Amino acid sequence: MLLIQRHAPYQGQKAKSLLDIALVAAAFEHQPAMLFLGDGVYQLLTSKKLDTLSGFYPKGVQSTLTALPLYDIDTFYVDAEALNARQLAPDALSLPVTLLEPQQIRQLVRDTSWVITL
Amino acid sequence: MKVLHAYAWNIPKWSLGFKAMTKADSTSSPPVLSSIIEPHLDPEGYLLDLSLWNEAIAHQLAQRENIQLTSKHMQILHLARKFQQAYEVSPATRPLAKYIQIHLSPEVSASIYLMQLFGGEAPAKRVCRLAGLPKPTNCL
Repeated sequence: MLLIQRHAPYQGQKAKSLLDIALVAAAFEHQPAMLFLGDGVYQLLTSKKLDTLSGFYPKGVQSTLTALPLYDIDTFYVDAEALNARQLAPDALSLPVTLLEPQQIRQLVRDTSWVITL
Repeated sequence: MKVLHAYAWNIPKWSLGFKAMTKADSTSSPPVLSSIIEPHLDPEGYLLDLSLWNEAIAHQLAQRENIQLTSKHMQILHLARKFQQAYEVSPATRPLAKYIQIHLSPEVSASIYLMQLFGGEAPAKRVCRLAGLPKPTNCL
């Protein structure tokens, strides 16, 4: 099973919903791999944007993502091009990831029987 | 519900009516103000206002479930709260067990330890309830 995150952490509820799917899958003894594409790579940054109106840090997916290894989910792929385009270094990310080139991403999706994205 | 004995409040004992207890009746948990106020709970027994939580409330919640909390229980409750603070999600049983294993006891099986302390079925639910955390959504 492969879950593809394509959205920035505060871009609607999609990142959160897909993360919930991962947690539910883990409860049913499935350990999906996760692939971060495009703006989805921003989910792997730990820094949060302070909401200047409320003075609180909004609840995002970033903290919960780092708990996934405790749920036995520990395969994380990242689109290398997306990372480059945003000038992010792999070691700035909150989880140990495998970088994939576009060709490898196509191969991964082709080889996976269940792919979920929102 | 426990009621403080009247002279702790400097008010006449009769004013508490039939609910007044004698000193001999009071149990081991510390006589603090919160122990005479029933906290508001949802139908499943979780605190409605999570910010109210403290150790005295935990003792009180445990009493409702006929558990006597020891320091070992309390250690787990605090760990569960730490988990929730770090990851912004209430722990399900397996991740909580892993977390305990990492932070407390690499050598013993944390899931068996959890079940011994908090009962067999879905111990994480009870842990979250007593620790003043939201119900774990993905816990079976």
